[in-house]
Order: sequence, then C-alpha cells, then structure tokens
Amino acid sequence: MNTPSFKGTHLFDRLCWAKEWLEPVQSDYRVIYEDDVDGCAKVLVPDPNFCAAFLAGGILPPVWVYWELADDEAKPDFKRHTRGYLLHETQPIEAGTMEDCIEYLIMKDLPRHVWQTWDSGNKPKMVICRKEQLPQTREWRNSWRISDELNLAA
Amino acid sequence: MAGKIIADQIEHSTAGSLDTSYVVNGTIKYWINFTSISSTSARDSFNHASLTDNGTGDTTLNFTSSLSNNDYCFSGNAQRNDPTEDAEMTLYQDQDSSLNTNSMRVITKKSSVTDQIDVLGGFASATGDLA
Repeated sequence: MNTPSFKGTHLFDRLCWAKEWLEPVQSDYRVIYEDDVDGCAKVLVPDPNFCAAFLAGGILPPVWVYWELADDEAKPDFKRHTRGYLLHETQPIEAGTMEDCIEYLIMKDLPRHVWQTWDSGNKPKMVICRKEQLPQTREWRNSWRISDELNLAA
Repeated sequence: MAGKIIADQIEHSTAGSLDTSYVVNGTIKYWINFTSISSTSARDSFNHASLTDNGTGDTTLNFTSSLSNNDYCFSGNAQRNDPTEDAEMTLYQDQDSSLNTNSMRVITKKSSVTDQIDVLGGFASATGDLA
C-alpha cells in the first residue's frame, strides 16, 4: 500500500489512515536506559502501529517537531500548545528502516539528556538490544541495571 | 485525502442533528491495551508511539499526535493476572506531573495493597483537544 500524499493533512487523520491500511510491524529491538542514578533501568518498547507508519513513510513528522513542542511545554507559563500546526503542516518524513525507527523513537521519547550524553560518564546510559537479551523473568525487575562492564566496542 | 467531506452538521432522518464539532471534540484521541506480564508491550493501540517500562507496575505511554494541553481527561483500568484471585485492580496516575501533552505515566496495583504489580492487561485512553 502506497502512502497517499499527506502534505498539510492533520497528523491524527494520517494515523487513522495508517491504522486502517497498514499491518502492524513488531520490532525485536528494545532501548534500555537509565535517567536516575537511584532508579532501575527503563525499557522503551516501540509500538507496532507506529513502526508500520515509520516504515511506510509519508505519515510521521520530523522528530525536531516534537523537540519544539517539548521546549514550548517546558516554559513556566505554558498553558496549551500554540504551534501544533508543526505536527500537521511540516512535510512528513520519508520511509526508513527499523533501525531508523528506533533512532527516531530514542530522540522522540527518551529524555534528551540521556541520548545526547549516552556514552559520557563512567558507563553507558543507554543500550539498544534485542528483546530476547532482556532477563527472561520480571521477578527482580526493579533491580535491573545496565552492566558496568558493558563492552561498547563489541 | 480522497473522500473528504467538509460539513459543520450531520442530520439523521428521524433522530435529529449534530454539529460535527461534537465528533471532533468528543472522540477519544488515544487508547492502548497493553500487558506487563513477562515483558511489557502493546497488544493494540491508536495514536501510540512507544511505551516505557519504568519498573514493576509503572509504565509511561508515549503519544504520536500530542494533546493540546495537560488538562485532558485520562481514564484507565487493569485486568488481574489470576482470574481466581479475589482482588480489584487499578490503573491510575500517581501525581499531576504524570500527564504531559506527549505522554502519560500510569501505575498498576491491587486495590487492597500498596505494592505496584505487573498486570495481564492495562487499558488507558485520553480524551481532550489535539495540539
């Protein structure tokens, strides 16, 4: 199914089209990250409908649009978005790979201080892995941490 | 988009008429059915980009099309893991900061105990204005 030309179409309408016409795509990738020295590791799980929209192309806005809206929301006098048009009127991004999709989600949904400085400090703050590499049970879920001995060159 | 109809009002043959703004404003803008047993993942969803498993019974739901402000209406509930277990499940928000225009953070636990737990099903939706 080829994506129609959605330039200027409301993002919600584009998502309605994607939900109706695109088969969900499960990703095996997971993003593990730590944003709190006292907390356990967090796990980002991509959504299959979102992945399908990303792989199809022509539906999602560029990731910088989300940064602009996040900057607006962080202002102390924020009441409501006044630049929502960026989501709808910015030219949608072209089709990408699943790896591109994971990069996009990292930059969209992880705290910026994590992915911008993921490899600085004593150990990585973020790791991309496959879901089978996660612990097989959640019995000790609140103790999960990124290993201090992770070999980034591997 | 093909097949687009622009109208301010729709009318039923006998039941009366309705402004289309009711549809635009009253439609649920986000929903998800997810599980946090074994691994946290979405079963199905709409307007959902990703979820973050923050720990036991603690999940952040990230939107694709942002809401206009953080005063939208959130609703949710949860499904118990063991159908023979006599326990009511809750899915709720812990604090005001849990609601952002691009995400919401939800907690699941049994109503009768304080510890958070993973659930067989977590169901959440948001109604409000889109950005």
